[in-house]
Amino acid sequence: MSATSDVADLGHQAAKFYEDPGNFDPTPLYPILRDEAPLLRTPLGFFIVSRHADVMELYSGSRTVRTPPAASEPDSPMDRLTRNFLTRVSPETHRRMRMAVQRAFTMKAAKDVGPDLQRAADDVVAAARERGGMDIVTDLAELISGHALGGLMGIPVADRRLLGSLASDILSGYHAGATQEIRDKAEQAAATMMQYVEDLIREKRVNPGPDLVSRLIDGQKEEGGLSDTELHGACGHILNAGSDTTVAMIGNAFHTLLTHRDQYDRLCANPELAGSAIEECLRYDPPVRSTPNRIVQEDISLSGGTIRKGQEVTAWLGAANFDPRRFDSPERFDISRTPNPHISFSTGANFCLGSNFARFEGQVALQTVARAFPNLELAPERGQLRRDNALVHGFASLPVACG
Amino acid sequence: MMIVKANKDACIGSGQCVLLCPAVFAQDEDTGIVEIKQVNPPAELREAVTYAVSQCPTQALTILDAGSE
Repeated sequence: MSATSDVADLGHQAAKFYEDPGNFDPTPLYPILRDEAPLLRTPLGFFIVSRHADVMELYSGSRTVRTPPAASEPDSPMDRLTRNFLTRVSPETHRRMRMAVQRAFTMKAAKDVGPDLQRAADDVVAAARERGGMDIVTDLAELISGHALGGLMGIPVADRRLLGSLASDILSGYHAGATQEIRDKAEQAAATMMQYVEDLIREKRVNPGPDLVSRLIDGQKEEGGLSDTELHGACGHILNAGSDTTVAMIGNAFHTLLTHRDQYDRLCANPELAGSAIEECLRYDPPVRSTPNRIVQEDISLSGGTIRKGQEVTAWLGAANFDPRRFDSPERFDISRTPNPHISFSTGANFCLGSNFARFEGQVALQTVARAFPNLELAPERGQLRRDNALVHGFASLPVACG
Repeated sequence: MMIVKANKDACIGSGQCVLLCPAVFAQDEDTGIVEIKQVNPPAELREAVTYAVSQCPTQALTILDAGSE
């Protein structure tokens, strides 16, 4: 057998994921990549790492902290919007920016928005009970995510929909494989997002509130405070990364649970399992299946070979989450799986800033619905809609009948 | 006896350790940086502590066995 041509073919297959993410399911490739090409070079010029241990090695510390510039012209809206994202600045600046923003993302901060999220979820459940059904994405997930992001950033809950749509267009255009049409749309969305961020910061300078943006502005005069461009970068980054990911997480979680009925029934009988259930849902169907590309800062030895300084790489988190070298019976969906070292929030210096919020939002959603609707089922006759781009994988619509 | 150490300069406040072993780890409420509640946790917590340490995204945590230094 010709190993070289087989691997080249694998590279072409994997590249389809970036060229047409809405129509290409990468999951059948996971075991093949892990077993036969754990460090796969794609024709798009970057590598894919798929084994759990390799992703841990690759992303540990800050050796791969930076993402390359967006696939766009220098000084285009995409470039200007993203150049001060935490993922694009130097490791030293990254550290300082992360320190400035992370205090808003602690577990305690997430729990502080808890009553608000719970009220929102309770209202959705009450309305669903009357109507006999709901849409997990547009009725529940978007509202929970909107309340969390709104509370965090001091913006109206209703703005989440606009931000989610902008973020989706921007993230679609961020990846190396994006077509020209996708990139043009991304540029437009980036210009709108930049304007939103500018308006938001101007508003908070005049009318500060108990939100992250106001706090970052207040911290600007202190040592280690953010410059104006860093402040824009941090706010743009959070609005971009926090809008669609949690919505996708909640949609994917219910889809997985309702297609594994015994596990949904278990959750209804034991709603206190919501904490470990959301972890298993994250492992099983992660909203981010391929991380944004990273630039390798020094040579790193992995099981498939050595990746060199300056090369570009991504990690297939979905493949790593099913790696039998790390997980017992990875194909089994078990809401009480312990331990569950999934890396759906990635790992290393760019570990998801909002993980505590995401986990909490997921728990509230699962617990509230499982308590109310033990007979919940997918309502396929009303049509599910997917919304996939190269970075975020989720549903645009997931109707359910409440039974 | 095990000794748990944190490198606060490496910590990014992800809170993974607090989630996995709240008996030993906490977060500073203001900065999010890790705080060790029990530097010498009892033996029955070894498994939980070891797992929490292994899950730190930036390897900011280490376990020393007394006598090994």
